[in-house]
Amino acid sequence: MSENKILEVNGLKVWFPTIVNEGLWSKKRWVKAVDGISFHVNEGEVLGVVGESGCGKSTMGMAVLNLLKPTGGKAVWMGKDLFSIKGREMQKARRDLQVIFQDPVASLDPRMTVGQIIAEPLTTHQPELTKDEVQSQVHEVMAKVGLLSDMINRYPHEFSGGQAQRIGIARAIILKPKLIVCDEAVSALDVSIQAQIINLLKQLREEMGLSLIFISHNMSVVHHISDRILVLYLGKVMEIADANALIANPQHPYTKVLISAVPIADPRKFQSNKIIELEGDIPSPVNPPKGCVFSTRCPIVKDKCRKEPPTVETIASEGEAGVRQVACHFYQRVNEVGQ
Amino acid sequence: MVRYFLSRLLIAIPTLLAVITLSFFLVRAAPGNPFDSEKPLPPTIRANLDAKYGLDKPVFEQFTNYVGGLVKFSKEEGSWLPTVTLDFGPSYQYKDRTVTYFIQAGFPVSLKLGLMAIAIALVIGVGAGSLAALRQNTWMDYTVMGFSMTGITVPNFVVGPILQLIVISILSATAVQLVPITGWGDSWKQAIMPVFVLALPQIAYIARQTRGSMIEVLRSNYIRTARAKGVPERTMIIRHALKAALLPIVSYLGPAVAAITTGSVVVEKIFRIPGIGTHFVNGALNRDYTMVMGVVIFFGALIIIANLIVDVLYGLLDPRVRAA
Repeated sequence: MSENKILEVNGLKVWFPTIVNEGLWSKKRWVKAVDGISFHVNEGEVLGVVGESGCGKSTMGMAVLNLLKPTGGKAVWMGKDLFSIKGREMQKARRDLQVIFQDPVASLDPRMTVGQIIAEPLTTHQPELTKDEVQSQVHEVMAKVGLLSDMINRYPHEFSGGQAQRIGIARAIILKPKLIVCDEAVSALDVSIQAQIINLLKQLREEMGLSLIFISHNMSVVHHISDRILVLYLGKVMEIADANALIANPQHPYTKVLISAVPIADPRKFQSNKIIELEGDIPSPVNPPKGCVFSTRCPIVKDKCRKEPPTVETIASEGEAGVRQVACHFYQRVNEVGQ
Repeated sequence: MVRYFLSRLLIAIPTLLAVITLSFFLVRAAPGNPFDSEKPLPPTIRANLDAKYGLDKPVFEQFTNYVGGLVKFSKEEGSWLPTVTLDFGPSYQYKDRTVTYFIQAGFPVSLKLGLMAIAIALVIGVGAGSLAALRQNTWMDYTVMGFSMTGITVPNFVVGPILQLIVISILSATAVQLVPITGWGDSWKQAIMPVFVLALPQIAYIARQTRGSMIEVLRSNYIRTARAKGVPERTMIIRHALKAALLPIVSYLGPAVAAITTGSVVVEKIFRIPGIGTHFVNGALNRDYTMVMGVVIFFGALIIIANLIVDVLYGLLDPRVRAA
């Protein structure tokens, strides 16, 4: 695999203003949904993004697509600064930068037929195409995602969630983009369809050489599809590593906890697998812990963690593919987690 | 769609019958008589009048006579279909005129006035409302919403005379008359002021409604999808957002068009316009039974037709309704 970075994100911040009631006075505060994330995506690579609900996964995805205005940071997309380009140029960039949304049915305009929905990116970006050319391309992608061609004149409300998700995928791939952000693309679907869609994405990736940012809270799904995995917690990066290495040998306490919680379909194996339970809930992003964001729930927390936020460090592990980055003062003692 | 349309037309018949029945008995239940005046009529004249108009008969017989006389079919030689004429009877107040005459004379005027007002209200209201939604919480939004609040709260019997006063004071100060302040039918300029006064509350209401639904639509997921596709902002607004945001406006338009085209008493009085609205109120005040009945039936039919058109439009605009 080539190490050609097509997207490089540096110090991405997305803060939302909010009003907090404190006694008599309401105060404007910031929800730090994403707070200084840096990562990159290589050409043809699948980057998995995992984390609990509310850790900023989707916000990160939307910000990378410029669908949410970032508060700070930089994103370089194929040599261009994604957050400063506007209007025409942004539209041009969207051609290569597509997205599959979390809620399949609500993401489709209820007043358009499936054919119109799937064709719209084409007619927008390639107005020179004739009607027949557009039609044949629409039929082609519909076949690719497993939609029957006689569904072309139906409306979104006539489809099930799984079918609607396929429409979303067809719409995303018709322009042959270079990167697709899959925001919980399969979470709304039942397991058998999840597998179909994931295999479809894998297949498309091999055929078209596209890169994916695959956002999900489901660790096993992410492991199945990703080359590298990014673990998020409360808007900050905990660990980034090669997918297999991260699962086999997590270096961050939070990653280890997450992995231990993945159900295993074999009851005997599952029983021997010890789930490490975390105490309490994820802290409020309005008022994050002072030091390490995970310090309130970390099983191996030390005094230093409560005072000093750790930096994301690049560490070397023997016999591993790729680079590993961890944000923990005591990653060497990760073995103590769950002991 | 055709079947739906026809079934709706059929349902309109019992609806109209119910309207006729209810209003007939309500009007009769009101105290007084068309021929009551400050000086009581001699009993013999009164009896003769009652006999002439059939008011001496029991109320139920009056009702069947009225309904029976409403629709007349006549078949002319050589024509395939029978011609249908509506007869709302003679007016009790204006001795030699029929109610049909007043409707025929007044309605076209009110219709023209009303349609112009609604058309202007739609263009300005939807435009201003969309603009306010797209620039939410900016000075533009606040200006539009401030104006529309004024438009809704200030009644037309205030706006009309104030505008007339302004035109007159300009006239007396500079000897320039901007627009005629009363009258109808001599010049198109005479329509400017009444149309504006009629349209003002409609503009205000439509602007608020558009803003509200537009804001909701702009936050929906499929608008985000359209952005993600790279659809230019203007195309996105027209193709995706406006279509959805206009649905509540369409359903408001049905009753609004019916109400505005049947005339506004106030506006017609202020600007001396020979519309139908004046007859409606005068008929009720004078207990002119047939006049009230005629106008009520006419108004009812208009509302039914307007709502039917709205339903059909709704089906065209929203495929989810079509399926049901």
